Amino acid sequence: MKTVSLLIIALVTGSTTASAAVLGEQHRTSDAPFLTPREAVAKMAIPEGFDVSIFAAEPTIGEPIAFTFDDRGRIWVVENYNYINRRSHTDEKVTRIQILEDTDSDGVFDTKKTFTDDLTFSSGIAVGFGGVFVGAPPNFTFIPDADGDDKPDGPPEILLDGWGTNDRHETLNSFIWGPDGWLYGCHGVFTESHVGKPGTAMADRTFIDAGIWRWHPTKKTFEIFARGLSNPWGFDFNDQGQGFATCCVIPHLFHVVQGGVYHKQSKPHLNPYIYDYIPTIRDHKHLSAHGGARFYLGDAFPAKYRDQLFMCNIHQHQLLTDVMTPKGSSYVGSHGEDFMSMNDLAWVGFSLETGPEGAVYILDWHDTDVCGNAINFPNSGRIYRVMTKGAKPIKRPNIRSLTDVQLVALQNHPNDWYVRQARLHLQMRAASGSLNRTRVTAGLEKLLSTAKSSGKRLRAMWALQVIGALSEERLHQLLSHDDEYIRAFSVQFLSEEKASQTSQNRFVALAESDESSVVRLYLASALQRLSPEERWPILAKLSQHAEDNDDNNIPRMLWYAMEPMVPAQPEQALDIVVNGNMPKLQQLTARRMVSGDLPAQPQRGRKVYPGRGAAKWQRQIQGIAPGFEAWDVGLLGVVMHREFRNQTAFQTHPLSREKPSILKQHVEVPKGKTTTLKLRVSHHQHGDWQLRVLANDKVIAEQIVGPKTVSKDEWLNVAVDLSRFAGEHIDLTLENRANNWANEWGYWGGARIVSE
Amino acid sequence: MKSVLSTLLASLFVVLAISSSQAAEKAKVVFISGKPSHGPMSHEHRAGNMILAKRLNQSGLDVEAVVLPDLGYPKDPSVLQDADTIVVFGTGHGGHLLNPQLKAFDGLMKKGVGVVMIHWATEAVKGEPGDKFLEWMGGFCDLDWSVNPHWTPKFKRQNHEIWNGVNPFSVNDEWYYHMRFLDDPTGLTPILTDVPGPETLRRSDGPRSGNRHVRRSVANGETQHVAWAYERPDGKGRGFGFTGGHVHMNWRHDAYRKIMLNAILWTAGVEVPRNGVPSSTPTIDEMYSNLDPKKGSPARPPASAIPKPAAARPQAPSFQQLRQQAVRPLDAKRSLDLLARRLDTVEDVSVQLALLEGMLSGLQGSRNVSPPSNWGVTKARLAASRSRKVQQLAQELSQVFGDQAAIEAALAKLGDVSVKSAERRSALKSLVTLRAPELKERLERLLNDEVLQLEAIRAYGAMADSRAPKLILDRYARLDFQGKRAAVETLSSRKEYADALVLALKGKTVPRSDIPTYIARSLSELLGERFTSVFGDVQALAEDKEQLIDKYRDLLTDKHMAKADARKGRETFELVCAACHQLYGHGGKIGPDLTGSNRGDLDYILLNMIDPSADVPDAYKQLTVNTKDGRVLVGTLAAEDGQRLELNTVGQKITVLKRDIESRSMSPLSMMPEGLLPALPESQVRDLVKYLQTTHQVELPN
Repeated sequence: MKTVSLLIIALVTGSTTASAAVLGEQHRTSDAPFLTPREAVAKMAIPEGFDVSIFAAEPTIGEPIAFTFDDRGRIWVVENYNYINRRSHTDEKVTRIQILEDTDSDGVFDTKKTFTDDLTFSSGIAVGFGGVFVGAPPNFTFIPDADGDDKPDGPPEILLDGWGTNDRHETLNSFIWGPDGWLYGCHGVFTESHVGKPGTAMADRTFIDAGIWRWHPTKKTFEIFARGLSNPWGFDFNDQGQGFATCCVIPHLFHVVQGGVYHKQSKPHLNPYIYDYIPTIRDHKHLSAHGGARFYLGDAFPAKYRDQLFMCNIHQHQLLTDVMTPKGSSYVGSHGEDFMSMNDLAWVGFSLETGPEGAVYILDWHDTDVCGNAINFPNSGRIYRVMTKGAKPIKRPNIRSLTDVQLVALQNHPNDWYVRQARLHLQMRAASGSLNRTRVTAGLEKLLSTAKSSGKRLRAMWALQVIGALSEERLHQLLSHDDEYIRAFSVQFLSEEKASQTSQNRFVALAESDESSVVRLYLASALQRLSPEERWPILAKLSQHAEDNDDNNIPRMLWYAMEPMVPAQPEQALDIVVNGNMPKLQQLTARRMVSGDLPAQPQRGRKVYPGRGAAKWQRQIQGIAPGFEAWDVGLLGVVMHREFRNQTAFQTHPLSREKPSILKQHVEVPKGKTTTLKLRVSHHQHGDWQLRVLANDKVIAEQIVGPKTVSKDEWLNVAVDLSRFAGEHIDLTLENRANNWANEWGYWGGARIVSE
Repeated sequence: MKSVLSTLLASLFVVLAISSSQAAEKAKVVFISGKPSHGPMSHEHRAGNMILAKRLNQSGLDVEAVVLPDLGYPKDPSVLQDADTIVVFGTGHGGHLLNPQLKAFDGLMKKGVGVVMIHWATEAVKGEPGDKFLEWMGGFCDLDWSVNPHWTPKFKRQNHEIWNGVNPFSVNDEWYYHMRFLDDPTGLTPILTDVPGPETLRRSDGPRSGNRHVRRSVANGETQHVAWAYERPDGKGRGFGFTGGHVHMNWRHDAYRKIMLNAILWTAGVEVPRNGVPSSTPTIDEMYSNLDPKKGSPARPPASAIPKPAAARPQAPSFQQLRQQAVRPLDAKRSLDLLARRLDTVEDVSVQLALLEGMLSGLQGSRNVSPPSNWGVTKARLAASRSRKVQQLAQELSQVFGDQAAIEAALAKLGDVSVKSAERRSALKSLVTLRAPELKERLERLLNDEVLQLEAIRAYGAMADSRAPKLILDRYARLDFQGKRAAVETLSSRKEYADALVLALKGKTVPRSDIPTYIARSLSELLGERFTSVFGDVQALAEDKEQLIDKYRDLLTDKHMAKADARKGRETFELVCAACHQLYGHGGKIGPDLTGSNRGDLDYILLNMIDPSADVPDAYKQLTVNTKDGRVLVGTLAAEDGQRLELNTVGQKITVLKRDIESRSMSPLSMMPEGLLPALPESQVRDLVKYLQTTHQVELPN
């Protein structure tokens, strides 16, 4: 008996080691056992001096995809019960947002509330401005809760639509309030979105397929902040307000600057003349995928963690940190620590937050399939809290109850959680008009002038910016500030809307002589927000700085600002780069000058026109084919020929081998008359095609049009008797159909219905 | 108190005025047009309304129609006060012009004013707006419930006066269907109704594209109503919903238009004449009149009718706007002259190098580019440079400019075995790029050159030569694996070569197993039956992919797999997959690397092999390029600019000049062929799957 059971154990163990993924190896799925939250914590390699608590887990929460803190230190968690896999989701209204509150600060939630369970697929959340911002492709919505009673005041309001779902694990995600009062978010490469306010015409929408975007809550404007990356699912700002994204597949870490174009997974850049993207800043490798990014700017962890970037590594099942060392205008990202290994192949760290007590919170989607191709552990998910051992409970925050003056004081708080929450409330109060602007401005200005560190000064400045207290004049003063970051952000804030001529003159001076590469980087970013003519003087100065040649950002950023102007003003471009000191700009300008132009309207892929043809064509063809409409025109669209084989004609091409190009019209065939469809058609010199005539979807005539069937004048006349339909309404369709796939162009010299 | 009283009196007066005036005056129809949406000739709210209003006014019936000049809800709502019915044609859902006016509009409805909603205007937000729409017109288009496919229903006559004078008809439009109707159908009459087929639900689920409710309804063959009439309880007015109207041109359709005119009349409480509302078919010119100002609109409405845009905040131009601003196209000759003049004057070697390198990469793949003026002088100056690199780059540039001396120099290198192999290869490559005519006669000799043989075989792809098939096939048996692959690739890249390759296949000079799948697919497209009759069917595709997946699942049970051989599987992988995919660090880079994929999961393997195009990113879609000189190139698009595109083909990366392209087509399909598994014998499928499921590399069988 005993031997038998031993044998079974051996078999079981044998089979699991054979197919199970091994910790530390790239894998997409495993057959890891389902560990209860307690068992999972027991397996974690918790670093010395820290504790992990189970803040919440199934059945309280399931399929958690995003979470965020509100101003009372409560966690709002989005549970995406609609997710099936990367290709599909259900449309039932089952996605939920719950509010979890830890009243006694022990790291375990005590009360829970459902804010709404009436949502479908959602992937991002932020709280503020009297409601909740939710990323729910195809929409970016706002669910109002003005009175803050934790109940929606009404249905979600669609702020933006057109968000794609081509890949459901690459939709809009990782919302975060930026230091400048914009709401930032990430977007993945295999999802294609055409973003605009509802009702915006396609041509006026903004395309994004990989990058960082932002939305302004009071100006209600949408912008692409930076393009490129893979499936970024983590974005945060460090102590100096610099953006950093964590990624999958491509190298994992990027310093993200306004207007930057980054390493893009698998696809060409939107602008083919980018030539040289901004590469990663990392000097080490992790396994592929990452979720979440938070700089530790709290006050509970040992001092060495301050400013380290925490991220979840999905394949290593670890909480990792990277350390940023400034280099020029950018950084080098080095490995910090393997802070904590989870030792559970089903741990899928999606997202991170730091809390009011200084703890790090981890969102664990929890599944054996770590790439979103399946849900093997349905309705599971956890939020863990990592906190220093023996931490005392804190007084629960309630930022909204504080006075304006208290909010100002919080800008000096050692835990950035308070700084950020207080700044958001200052911005909201300024927007609603309830802020004591004079007092607050005075308080912040005082902080700005007395602060001892860049970080503190910046916090004062950012708060001034979000309440609208930085006049152009004040920003001009700050352009001369000793602190390079203050100067840099002054450039950015002066360029929020188009910079005035005075500002531009100041920029030229700074571009020439500012000693800081950070300031020069911000000037390079600002260039893209100026009109072409205005860019030249600043570009001329910035391209002088040979010391920036090895900078990860600056030469490339200058190129992105300069490229669109090269075709129109090659001479000026060449002047500037040859008189400058940047070989990269010289090389790329020469390359751009000789490499031709895009068509005026950039077309992605081939030029075929499925669906109804352009209105212009419909008008053009009326002279030859009165009453007909051209649909599904393939290569090149409808092309008019004033002279084709001795007459006027227009040309069509099938959409594909299977799908013909068609001319159609609805015809009332008169009674008591002979009605004939008279066609005159021809073929490409090196091809033939099939002409078909259909009435009400039934073929009534067909004919190959090619060298063998046309008459001497190279035209084929076809007459189709329509008299049998006399007195009826018919849908008449003429097909230019492929008979093989070589020069299937159809030439139409006439298509008329004649009743006699 | 006083003011309240006077308001009350005033409104009483209005009500009285309306009821007393109704008998005497014509019924009034007010058309509200929403702001522009969609492209030209779709959702032409204002133009559509104007066509209808004009015909009502010309009908000779007791009706007077007004199209409000404002787009959107009227700023002065009093214009609606004496309406008998209101027609709303505009954007729906969150953008519905009635959303901010629900209360005011509800007041009108409660008074008994009729309403007609056209197309998107039938779409309401769930909740209060939706509930109101139900009260007003008995139904609405509801997200995640209704769908909006384009289809061609066939409408039969319904017993209702809206059908007066209309024969059964059929029109293609974006007919929304599966509306949300009142639970209690009292007062509801379907007007346009048909049974849609499953082809109308081809799109995947989405708020407007599909959901399980509508799928069930269509599967059950339920009748769908795309226009309906509603009599509110107690004679409190009438409503009409019409979900067509997307396609502006459809107003030319007489029956379609008549249904709408009759319905408007009916909602205004006017009896519809026995033959319906008479109206003329709009002329083509009329169809193109009054269109909303949209990008690409063929005509613009009079300036007075265009709403003034709000003052826009100054904003930096977007990338697209900049592109459009840069109207002056780059003049290639002028650009080259500008650069050459710089090279004439610049002393700094690093600037010279940067400009030369930039020019070379910008001209990559180009040939016989006409040189800048006085290139001879510039070249001489650069040739005298103290920098060897400058001399070399100037020489390469001269080749691009078709400079005979530079070409002679490259030709000399070809035959000189004392020159480094890498330099000889590069000389050959540049001569191929230039299509140097002198190369043609030397290629044959190079086929026997150990160093250049592979490049020489490939060179015949770029340079058409009727002798190429014979020259290559004569040597075929002696070529190594790489050489054979290059030979097969080259011979399948031109029609006239491919015919010879098929003969060789028939005569077994080239064994069938030497033809990898991607080439077989390309050949079958190029030659059709002439190839498949020799090779067999490449795309033996089962219609039902799920059935096929089930079939293989049964074939690949653990019991069967126990007999499979991973080493043989690797052999199959090398032939079928490795040209495009890496596994264990070995293979091509056209498709995704499989090493880290979810290979352990049989369903994952089967889905991706049997239905690779189910959801394919652009990066992996197959692009076929036909060049003017008869080359057929198949690959994925690596990069593209105004002059050239770079193609990731299976054997190599190829730069093609756009001016050499006859046609190009991007298939919606993945570069990955579908018929892979069915083309293999079952035992081979098992071996391949076994290999794909390995966790470590295995040896090839001996």
